[in-house]
Amino acid sequence: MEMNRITDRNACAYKEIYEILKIFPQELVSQIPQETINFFNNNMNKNYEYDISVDTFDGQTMLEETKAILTILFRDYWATPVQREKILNYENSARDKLEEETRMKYNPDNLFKKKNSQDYVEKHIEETAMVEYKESIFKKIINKILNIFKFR
Amino acid sequence: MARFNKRFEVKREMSDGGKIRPDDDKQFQENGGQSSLEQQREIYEEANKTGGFDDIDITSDISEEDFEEEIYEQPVETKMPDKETTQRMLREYANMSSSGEIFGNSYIGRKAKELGVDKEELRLYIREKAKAQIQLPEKVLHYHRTSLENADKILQSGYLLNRANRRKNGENLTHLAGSSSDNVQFTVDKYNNNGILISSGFDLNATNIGAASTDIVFVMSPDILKEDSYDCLAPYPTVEKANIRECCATILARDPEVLAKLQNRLSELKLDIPTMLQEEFNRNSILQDIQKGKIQQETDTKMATVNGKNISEIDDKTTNFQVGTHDNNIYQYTDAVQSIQSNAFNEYCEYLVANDMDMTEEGQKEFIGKAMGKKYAELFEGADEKQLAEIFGRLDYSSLYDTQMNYDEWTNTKVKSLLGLQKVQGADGREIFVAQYEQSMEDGEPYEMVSEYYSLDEKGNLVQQEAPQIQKSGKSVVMTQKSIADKLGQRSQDRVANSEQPQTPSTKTKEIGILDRSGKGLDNVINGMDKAETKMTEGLDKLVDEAEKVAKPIFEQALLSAGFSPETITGLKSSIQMVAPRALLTMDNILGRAKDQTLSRGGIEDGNEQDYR
Repeated sequence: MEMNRITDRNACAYKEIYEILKIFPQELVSQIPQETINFFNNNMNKNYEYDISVDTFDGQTMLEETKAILTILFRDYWATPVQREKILNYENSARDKLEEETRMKYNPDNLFKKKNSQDYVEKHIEETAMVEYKESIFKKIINKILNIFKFR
Repeated sequence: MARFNKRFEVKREMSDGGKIRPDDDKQFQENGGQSSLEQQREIYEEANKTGGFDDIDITSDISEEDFEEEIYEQPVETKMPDKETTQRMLREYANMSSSGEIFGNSYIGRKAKELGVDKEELRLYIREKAKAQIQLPEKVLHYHRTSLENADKILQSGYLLNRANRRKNGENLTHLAGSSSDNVQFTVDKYNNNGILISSGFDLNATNIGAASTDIVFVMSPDILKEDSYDCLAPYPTVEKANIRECCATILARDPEVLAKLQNRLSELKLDIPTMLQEEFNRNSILQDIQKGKIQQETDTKMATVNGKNISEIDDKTTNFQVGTHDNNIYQYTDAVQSIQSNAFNEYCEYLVANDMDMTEEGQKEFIGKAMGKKYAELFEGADEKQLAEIFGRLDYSSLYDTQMNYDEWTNTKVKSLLGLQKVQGADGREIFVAQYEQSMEDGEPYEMVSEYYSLDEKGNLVQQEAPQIQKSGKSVVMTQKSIADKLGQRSQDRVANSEQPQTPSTKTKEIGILDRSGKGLDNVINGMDKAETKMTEGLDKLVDEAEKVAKPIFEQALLSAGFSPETITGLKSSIQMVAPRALLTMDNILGRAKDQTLSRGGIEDGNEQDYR
């Protein structure tokens, strides 16, 4: 189910980037290999509506996946060497961070720590005590009267 | 949950907390639901109200220790969170708030207990820290959408109010539902640390913003950040109240019909708030108006006292013109004015030599002042403006001379600058010139506004006089530093434009004249070149960076040539800059695999193998 959802989003992103490339100037689009454009065309969700034009396109209203594709295209075909390096550095540090997070998440030692904190919470809950207020005499009388009327 | 708590009380016996006193329960019953200590306190307070019980020690039934423990808050050791903890708290609070205000409040309560601080203090601390992280706070606009009906209530009260305050105002809010917060919510503009707008809080076509109606949009200025209750960590920033007179930059209406009703209402309530149609929304224009309003406010504040008198005590006419302040004392040291001054000084020297005269202070002020005034007058066309500009030059040089000489001779550090000049009609029909100065008696002392009054005698000399009676209905003409600076700037541009025109005999004659004159100012030119060279050396690195920025945009240039607007290009750049790392890595893998499959099937990409990684 999750995979289907992701696939759907990617298909919509391909449609979006395809539409964006359609309105982009030829001198930019011509730098992208035809195979890449064919890939977008063949795998996009043709029923997904994404109507844009040069006048209405704001450069920001798009899926995150589309932004990612745009970044990759920019990195590979339109960026200066300095810009390309910056994007690659960003990707590398993001990759490192992701790996670190994955390692932390699935580290058996951390699993054990988590279990300990769970024990602490459970123990803490057990220690709470409940004290019920006894009803005041006035309330007792009222309740008794109400009970009498109930049986009438 | 509330009903549960009402009936039962959950008491936690914690090892580090205060324990319940053993006799509390028994005494509680006897005292009708009050602890003995509370009863003692009540009696004590009651006693003090009526008087006469001061000498009776009514706390003798309980130990002093217990009394202090209950009545006085024990000073608790507090720990201010360090930077890392603060950042973590901001993230956690934002996460909790995204599920609802109640969870955010619960988090604050818990953290306050952990740190041993007051809950409200911690809330304020977190809010202030979050505010400090807002990029370009001076440009951030907030948008609150509502119906025309609600807008009417807001305008009447003068405030955007949260539900609690609206209930206090007597409003019936039973019909309200759906909003995730009891506080006033906004959408907001967001900028990244490069100053690029990455998210607009206002979208004309937005349909899923949660507001019940989009008839009216209150556009709030960045001043709303000054509200203590401003919380930007919520999914939508919130405040408990906002004064629309102080914080509302403009109100947007959905269509002309709504706009007309809105304007009528504003007029009835005498509210001076700009309005426009939503489709006419222009962020930059609104921000500029806010900035202008701030400068005007500063000027008004500075002009609030003139010569020690409150502005209301003085005829409005004489102080009602726009002047600058020493902060924007803009033309004093520009090259154009410096050049005029230098040329005038040279002419003065030639005059002295030609007439075999000695230099005197008065003589210098008069000669150079008149020469500068003549140059200023040449910039204008109307007779009144020419006259004012000429007098402006004279008075201006006089105050400049005093300031400069005082400074050079170390007599004192008084600074006096002419900001504006106004011509008005005196009660006796004479022309009066009101000169508005800004002066600081000593270096570091605040500036104050000072007015001086002049008239012209038969010889055309300026004669200072006491503050005269002014005709209120008379004509008034104003000249300010800005007027002159603008004209000087315009003249420079015109000269550049004219220098590109084909030469005619008359222009050639002009050129020769200009060359002669410029020979006299050669020293100035050389000095200027030295300065320029230094600036060039210092700015070389910056120029290289700027050149690279300018050289790069094959991408930008191509888009511009194709008809994309600069805003769209900015949006594209910010989309690239703000791409989510996970999405980027995932898509990189997908496209990389797709490329590999293409290659493995025997496909080549234009003969070039691209390296995605």
